[in-house]
Amino acid sequence: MTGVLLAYRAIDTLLEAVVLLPALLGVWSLAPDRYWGGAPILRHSRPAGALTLFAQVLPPFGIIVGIYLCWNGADQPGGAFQGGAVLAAMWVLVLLAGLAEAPPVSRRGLRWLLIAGSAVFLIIGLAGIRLADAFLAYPAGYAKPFILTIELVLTLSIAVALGLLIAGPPARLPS
Amino acid sequence: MIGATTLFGLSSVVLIGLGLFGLIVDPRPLRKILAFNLLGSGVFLLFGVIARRGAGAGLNSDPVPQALVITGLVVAFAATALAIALLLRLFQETGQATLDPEPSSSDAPAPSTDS
Amino acid sequence: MMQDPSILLILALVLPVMGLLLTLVVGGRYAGHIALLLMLVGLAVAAAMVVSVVRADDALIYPLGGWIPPLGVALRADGLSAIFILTTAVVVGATGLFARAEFRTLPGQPETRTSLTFWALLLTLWGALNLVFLSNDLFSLFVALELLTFSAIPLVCLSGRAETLAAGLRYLLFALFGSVLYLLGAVLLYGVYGTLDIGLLAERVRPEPVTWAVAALMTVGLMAQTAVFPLHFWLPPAHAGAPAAASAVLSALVIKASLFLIVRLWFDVMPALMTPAAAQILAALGAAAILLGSVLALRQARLKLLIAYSTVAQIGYLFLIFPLIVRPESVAFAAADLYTELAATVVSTSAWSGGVLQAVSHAFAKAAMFMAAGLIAQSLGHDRIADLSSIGRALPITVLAFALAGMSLMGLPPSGGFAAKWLLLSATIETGQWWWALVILGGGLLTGGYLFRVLAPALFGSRESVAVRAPVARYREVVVLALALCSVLLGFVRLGTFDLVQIGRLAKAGMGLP
Repeated sequence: MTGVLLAYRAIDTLLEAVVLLPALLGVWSLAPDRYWGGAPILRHSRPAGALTLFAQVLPPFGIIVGIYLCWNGADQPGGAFQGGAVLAAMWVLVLLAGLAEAPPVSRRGLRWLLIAGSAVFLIIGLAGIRLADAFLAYPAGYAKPFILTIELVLTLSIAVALGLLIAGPPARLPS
Repeated sequence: MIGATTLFGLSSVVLIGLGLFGLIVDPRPLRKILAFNLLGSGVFLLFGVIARRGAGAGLNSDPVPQALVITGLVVAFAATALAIALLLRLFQETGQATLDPEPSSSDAPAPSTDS
Repeated sequence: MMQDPSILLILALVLPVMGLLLTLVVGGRYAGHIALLLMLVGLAVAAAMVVSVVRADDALIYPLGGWIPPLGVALRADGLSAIFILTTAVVVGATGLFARAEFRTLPGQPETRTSLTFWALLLTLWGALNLVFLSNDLFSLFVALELLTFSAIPLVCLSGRAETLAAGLRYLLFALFGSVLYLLGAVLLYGVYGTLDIGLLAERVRPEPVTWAVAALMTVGLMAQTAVFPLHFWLPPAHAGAPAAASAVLSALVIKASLFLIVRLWFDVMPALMTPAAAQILAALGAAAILLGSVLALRQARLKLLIAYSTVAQIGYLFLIFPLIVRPESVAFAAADLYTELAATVVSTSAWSGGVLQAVSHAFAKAAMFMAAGLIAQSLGHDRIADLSSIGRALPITVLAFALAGMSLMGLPPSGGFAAKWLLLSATIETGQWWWALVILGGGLLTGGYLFRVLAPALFGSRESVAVRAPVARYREVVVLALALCSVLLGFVRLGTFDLVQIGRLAKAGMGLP
């Protein structure tokens, strides 16, 4: 899987990570002006009972599964997107149950987290021009560590982007 | 007894048909968005069938379609999120989630405005 | 340093993506600065790409990651791509300059919504366009189309008014419908021929039922995104509702991307399928778009809607090139020789050049018109055509730019639009298809009609001057004028220059292959 996703067709994987950003910006841009910089609200109308229980019990397992999927992607089915999707689901569950708040969209750390995956991918890709004679090529012998780095950061960025896409536009006044 | 490939192939055709029907015929935007997802699932399933068929022909299961389906899923997910956010905002602004032909524009009589 | 010029293809993609990532972390305060700087570099890259393609007299190819198709994905810039990349760089750069004052965060204030999103989305849109023009892989092209949609639709809704939200949603539904049909076609092609690479497909595609189905699916899908009659309903409210700067790129560039893919599809991917009947059907839709779009433009009460309907009409001209490139008699003749693929590649150079010139001059003219309409609306507080009387006195440069751009749209000499329509007309005569000549001439008259409705009162209206509410920055007027001048000056470019279109065409290279 990863061989195809991060080697032969690396461009599609890079674009897949990038495409989430304008989509998220598009969702954010639908906020009324006064809410810009505030946080989105994603919460079940009556968070109680089974939902809260699930949100307390499930995430530890979900996070392990997510990391496993990402790690496993190197030679078996799995990968950054699958891992990221599971992680995002856990985050959404916690948000829905009201156990945590979505972060404000103006937060600098959040922005860095969003772009980290694409940025690392792009930088390694560009380094390939110098080190391996082609954009998105990996220098001989270093393909594995580079691909693993990309996968890990990409998983995080994809998880954050997917979660925020569900959380919707900012709906609180910025503090 | 039909093989798994044929069964999945037929299922994808049904999904594509249902999705196209909903997307073109149903005037409600939410239904259209759902229909788009159905249609997308049908296309991805078809891609899976093609990968599988490559495997049946003696190749080691064609990984390219599988890789592409993942990218396709991400894109479809992002599109759905954007569409739903747009629809919600429209609902907040106008109190309704429909796409009536706009009275302000002097559009020609448009039979398929929503297709 | 002597570098391989194909690295320019990578730069054309990486610059906008880098801009998107940078603007997100730097925020709205400096987003505009970053975007403008990258656009300047991008313009140089685009110009260098045109020069390199001409110098090499062949397409530039860059296999990504060093993997050659069918395993990998390749970028490819032929003459056609290079022209569109340059046009995009110019229009996007002008739009950036024009929008600089409008979308910014004032010093000491927190980041505003539009100051970040406008620039980030404009950069994405630019990158997506470059990818459409450069990618040689049907799946990457699908992602590029989606990237384009995701950046274009939020731009339509940027003002947040209810009618723009509805327009944006309708646009999104059409675009998704189109992209999923396109993807279905690509998947079927992969299933039959085992590759998504345009160059390899061109060698493998045979005229058989499944290919015809693919051609129909992909063409309809792309037509929904191009807003060709009868799938044009979404365009006018969306393009008219967007902020002026966004309307400019949407009308000038975004719809051309899917059109570019239709051309690629028919002439590069499946040239064997380009029969006279298919060509006539496509052109008939284009003719209907010209007439209907122009008539509807005549009836509009608001300036931006008029311009948007004019886009529907002008796109129609580009569909006339199909039957003009494929000559019916030569196809019939060669079919007897069993060399159908050879026959379909008989190229009428004047139709090619005319089509490309029409696309490029329309891009400059339409961007100028939308920006001019934006300035008029800003200074008057409205864009009702009935109340534009004597606006020429208040905004002389803007109205001059509008008139020059209009001249190009109407096809008055000397302008890019004139040269384009002249080439198309001579192609109709060359190929003996006089009925398309009637459509071109009729469309020109109608265009003159609806533009006269705007220009006559604007220039020669009543004596009393209009009440100007807000002043307009002089440099923004100059940007609009420069774009309009580009559109006119294209008419002075030596016509042979547009032979550049023929450089690296696949159909030529693929000829003779069994």
